[in-house]
Parts: sequence; structure tokens; C-alpha cells
Amino acid sequence: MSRPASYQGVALVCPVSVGYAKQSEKGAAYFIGRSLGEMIQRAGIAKDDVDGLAISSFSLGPDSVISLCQHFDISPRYLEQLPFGGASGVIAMRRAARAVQMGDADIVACIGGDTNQAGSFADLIADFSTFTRDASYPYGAGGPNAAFALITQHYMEQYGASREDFGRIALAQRYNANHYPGALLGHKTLSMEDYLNARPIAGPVHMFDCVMPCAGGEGLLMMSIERAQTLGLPYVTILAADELHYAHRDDPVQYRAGWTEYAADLYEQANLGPGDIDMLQTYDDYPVISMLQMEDLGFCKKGEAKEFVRKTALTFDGHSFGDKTESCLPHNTSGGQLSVGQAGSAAGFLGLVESVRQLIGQAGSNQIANARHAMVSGYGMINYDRGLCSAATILAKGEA
Amino acid sequence: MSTSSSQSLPPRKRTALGEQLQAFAEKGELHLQQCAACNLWSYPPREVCGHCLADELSWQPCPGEGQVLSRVDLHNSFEAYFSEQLPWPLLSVKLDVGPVLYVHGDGQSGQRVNVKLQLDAASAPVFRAE
Ligand SMILES: [Zn+2]
Repeated sequence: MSRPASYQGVALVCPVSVGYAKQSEKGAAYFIGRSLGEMIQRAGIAKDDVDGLAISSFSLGPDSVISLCQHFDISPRYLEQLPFGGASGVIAMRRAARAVQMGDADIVACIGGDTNQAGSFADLIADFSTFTRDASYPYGAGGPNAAFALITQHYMEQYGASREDFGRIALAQRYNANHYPGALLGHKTLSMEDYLNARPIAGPVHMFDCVMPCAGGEGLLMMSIERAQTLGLPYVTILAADELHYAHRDDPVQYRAGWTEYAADLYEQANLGPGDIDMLQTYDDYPVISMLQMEDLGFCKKGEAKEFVRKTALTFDGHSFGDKTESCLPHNTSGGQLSVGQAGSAAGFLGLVESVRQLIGQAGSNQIANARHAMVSGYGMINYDRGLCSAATILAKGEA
Repeated sequence: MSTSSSQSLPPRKRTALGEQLQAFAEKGELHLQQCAACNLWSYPPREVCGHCLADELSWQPCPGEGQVLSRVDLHNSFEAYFSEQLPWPLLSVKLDVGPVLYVHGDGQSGQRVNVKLQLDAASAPVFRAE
């Protein structure tokens, strides 16, 4: 099988996270539009300099990315809409990078934005897909909690991971969120006792394993490195990226995803190994899914994420909660969805935007020291019994 | 599992294909879509064969033997019918003929079960493991 050509020459700039709120009466276009507005202001460019839009949103309907052109009064020559949930950020980045390389667009705004109105999450999960309507919702398995409870239960029985192991991920992310002002749960601390005693939701999944649906926007601009340098913008480059969907489809229960099929190629193309990665941003819709990514992306072997999270500090600054850790891998450094909140499709951009912020040194009080390389992973779309999408990228701090 | 005392009913909404299970559920006969071209079974309901893409799917009587893959108790639900009766057990079962089904019923992972097609409290078609 061939593998993706180089992403050389492309820059990621101006990461923004805007408008986070537990609920909002505003529409999705607000969060997308304000993300765009903030990005062009930060870039020092005019609105019409943006000639490409790559958008992800669950709550934009009946509008789509083309409707936004009139809404925002812009005339782009490149449009993408990416209904890929938790993988939409990395996928948008891959598409936009090709557009910039090939001249289909000079500056692409990649944005995930969603509102969260009263009852809208319940409506979304009641009719998420034809498969969920027929085969999961009638069984009380509304929304992802039940599907992931079945996956988590199976994983625990198969590999011996405990709730404490999942808790280590949640605690480290809350600690990171305590240092990231944008996190909706960042003002609260989380102890292992809090985690273990939380309200049960489904099987082994308890309250602090679940994300809080919210409203918000995440975005960044993509352009040539030359353009970023001309504009004086600190930037990030793409060393490797790939995606694979509904892989391992004969696995009766999901315990891995498409990452296994391209992780080694990503490292080879980037000329790096897992030990060279300064931060890992996984899609943490539930801690077990972060464990699958740690395993499938080569940070540990299959089934050994439990040992990995026991001996690795996952916080941005190496804080380890009393575990005897041997090394540090900052993970979901802004708190991830578990502590920032899940702003619909924007959550699929969370790790990408945070990584760019970290690599250009604009992260604030959760800044990782001397970070040069980030791995960002996407996962998403629970069509029935498993997440279908997988995507991942290795990013590097741009040369000054 | 107790009977709900309120007026709440399980979700009735299905796709047009899902509705086709209604007649079989009324007779209590487990049927799934089988492809005449490749003989393989498809579930959840599909428009074309999930294996060979042929336009030869039809509802056929299906053996219900299978194995529980995973079992959890739901402690939370957006639907009143379930939230009034928590905890509600949920199983995923792999039928010996192939498909993976979410089903009502009780059981533990690894356990052999027999899956039936029945009507639920809303008179809608659901699978149940026995
Ligand atoms: Zn067939």
C-alpha cells in the first residue's frame, strides 16, 4: 500500500479556542464565526485573505459550510465539511494541507464549532445514525456511554486494567486543566477518591469517565511556511499524518483501531520514535479509548497501557500524584475533553489546537518546557458498537 | 427486571428497514437479513448486503445461538422508560452466524445464550437473550 506524500511546506498557525460554555442559546455559526474572527485578527490578515474553509459541526444544520459563506460574507475557493467527530481535526488538517500544497487555496481556516442548547445532546444521540436508531437506542443504549461501557468492560476483563488505572488518566488531565483557564472544569480539583466514588453511569463507566457536552469553537489557520514567515507568525509543521476508518472490522468488540496500521509509518516518515514525542494528545471520550491510542500508537504494547499509566507521569509538568513514575509524557495537556468539556465537533480539534499552542510556546501556565514534537490522535463516530474513525499526526515546532 | 408502573414506553422509532422486524417479532420468530448471493447475515438492518453489496438481502429465519461478548448495567438513561427501572442490564451478543447484537436480558461475558425476537412494552421489535 502506498503511503501519504510529504506534508512539507505547510504551516499551522494561530490556534484559537473560543466561547466555551456549558450551554448556549447561540447557534453553531457563532462559535465558528468567532473562531474565524479571532484567527484573522491574530494573523493580521483581512477576512478575504482566507480563501478556504474546512468546517466540522454537529449542530450547524440545516446550514452547511456553504451557508457560512453568506453568513460570514466571504468568497472562498475551497470548501470542506468533515462530519467525523473526534477525528475531524486531524482529517481537516490533512485535507487543508493538500489544498495549500496544490494551490487550491492559500489560507485555509480549519474550525470545529458547536453549540449546546438545552436538550440538543439528547436529540443528537436519539437519532445519531440509522444503526443506532434500530440497534442501540431501543435497548437503553442511548448515546456513547453504553457502547463505551461495553468496550471498557471487555477491555478490563481482557487485559486486567482497573478503574484506578483509568482514574490516573482522568486525574492527570484534571491537573492539566487546573492550569488551563479555558477548561470548564478547570476550577475543580479531582482526587482518586472523588474519581472512584463518582456516580455510576454504565457498567464500569462512572461520572468522571464521561465528558461534559458543552458549546465552543476550536480553530487554526493553514498556509505555506513562506506566508507564515512573511506574516511573522510562529508556526508548526506536519512531519507525518494518516487516517484509517473502520479497521479491524471483524473484531467482535473494539480493543484497537486503525492506528495500528500506520503508526510505524508515521514514526518512520517523521524520523522519530515514541520516545521523541514531547506530548501526546489523544481523543479521550473515555479513558479506555486513550489507552487504546497509547497502545496502538506504540507508546506501550497492547494491553499494557495500565502499566504505562502507572509508571508515566501524564501531567504537563511531571507531577505524579504519589505514583513512582519512571518517565513523563504530557498527555491531553489542556485537560482534554474530560476536563475542558466536549464542544461537539470542536472536541475533535482540541488536541490539535492545543498542540500548536504548546509548540509555538503560547500555552500559558500549562506550557510544557522545550516541546518540539507532538503526537495528536483522533477517533470518533460511534455508529453502533464502536468508533469508526481513526487519524493521527506527528507535528513539529517550526524553524524560526 | 421490574415492570414500569408509569406511562413511559421504550423508544418506538425505527428506520423503515428496522420496522420490517415488526411482523416477525409479533410471531416471535427470530429473523435477520441474509444475502442470497453470499449467504452471509447482516445486522443492523442494511439496504444492501454488508459483505458483497448485492441487492439480494431478505429476512430469513435465523438461529439464535450466540455468546455474550460484554455485559453492563446501565445506571443512567435519557429515556424515562429505562431511567425509571435502573439499573438496566445490556448485553452485546455475537451470534454464531456472525452479527453482533445489542440485546435485553441477563448474562455474563462468555456465556452461551439464545437470542429471541420479541415485542417490547411499546410493542416494538427487540432482541432478548435467554
Ligand atoms: Zn452478500
